[in-house]
Amino acid sequence: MSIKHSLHLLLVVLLLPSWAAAQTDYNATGWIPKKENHLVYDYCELLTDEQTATLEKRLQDFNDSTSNQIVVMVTPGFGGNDISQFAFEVGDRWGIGQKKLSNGVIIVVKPKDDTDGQVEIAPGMGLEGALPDIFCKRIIENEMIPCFRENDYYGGIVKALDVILPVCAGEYSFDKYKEDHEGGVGIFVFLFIAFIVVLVLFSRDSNKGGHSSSGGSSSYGGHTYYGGSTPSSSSWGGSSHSGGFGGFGGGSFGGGGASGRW
Amino acid sequence: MKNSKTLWIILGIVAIIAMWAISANNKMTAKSEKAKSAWGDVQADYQRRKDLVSQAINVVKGAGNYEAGTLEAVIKARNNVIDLDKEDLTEENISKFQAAYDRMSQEMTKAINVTVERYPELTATKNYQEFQTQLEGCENRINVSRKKFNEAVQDYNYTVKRFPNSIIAGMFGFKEMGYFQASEGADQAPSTESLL
Repeated sequence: MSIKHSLHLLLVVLLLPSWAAAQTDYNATGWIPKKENHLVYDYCELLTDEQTATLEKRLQDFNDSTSNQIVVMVTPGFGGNDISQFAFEVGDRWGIGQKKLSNGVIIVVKPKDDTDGQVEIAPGMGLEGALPDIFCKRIIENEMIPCFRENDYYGGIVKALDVILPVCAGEYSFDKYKEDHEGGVGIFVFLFIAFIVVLVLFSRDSNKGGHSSSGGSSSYGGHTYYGGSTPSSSSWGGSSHSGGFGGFGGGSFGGGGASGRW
Repeated sequence: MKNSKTLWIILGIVAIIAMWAISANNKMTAKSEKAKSAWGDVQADYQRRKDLVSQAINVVKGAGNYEAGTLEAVIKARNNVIDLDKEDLTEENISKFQAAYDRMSQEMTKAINVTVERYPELTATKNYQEFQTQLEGCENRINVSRKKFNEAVQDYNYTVKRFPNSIIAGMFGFKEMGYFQASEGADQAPSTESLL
């Protein structure tokens, strides 16, 4: 680059400070609530103070012990988004879950009023493996909506957390859940088949025993749980009012989860 | 003596400009990489939509004697979807990419809807319900990754187009990248319930 050339360039730089390029908003998103230093948000005042406090304590303790951050939000609306977008937007922008693990979950409940009630369970990207969409859907339909229909919002939320917390902690899984809820018939069928197989084997050739006939039920495990057994270094200063929760860790959300209506 | 002083000043200015150019170049490289990696996520999520087609086919087949030909258009549309390399992210390519996937989606939705219309009891099957959930999750993921990609591209484009950087961008070949435009009706997840 010649000196003359660079001087020329410098001149241009100095003379034309007009980089007010119009920044088009391609990503207009609706309104989301302001982040606060706690985990339970009841904008409808649907839960009693005691219930809120109990939930808050449970979720904060869970955050302390496993670093998974679970947010429960009861809201009258979604700021112009649909419930799923709203959940991802809040999860992502608040940064629920730890940054490296993205081990957050957000549960959004819109109580039934003149319009349908709606609920969404959205896991952060790190928990999509442990909480696949279909699992979230089952939790919504089996645990939450039946309670919500009876106007027992607290009960529905607690029942969902009873499943989600152990799953996030790596102590429970979708496979086990299926076994607990639908496995009754499955095990029966399996035993029945085993019984038949044994019968057939014995009746066909009672001399030759020892045939192994175990098909083996599918093996569990195999899921990679993020964050289950790695408590965060909890380097959060205790500046928050409630003393427990120190803030969101910067986890991101990729669109996993499911929603339901009633 | 006077001459050499001028020379030093000029050299100093050149050095400053060079440093600025290098840092601008690095910044644009980083942002372009970020956008390209966001594209990887987009592509993965669209791939997921493609994978859903086989599930849709299972649902339709689950209806027993489903109408022959129902699935032809879906399979054809699936064969027409294209991959788009992260180096070719122009507006035009992106809209082609999106259009092909949207067509596949529409055909898939149509096939399901037509079948459900004939066999409403299909909606009660586990296959159908799981398909619905996965479709919803798939579209949600696409929306999120598309939005993140747009944000990354917006950030990159803004940097590249802004005036002093634009000189460097021109010299080193940083081109503006394309966005996802909301295609008609595609901002909403295709619903197979629309005909019910």
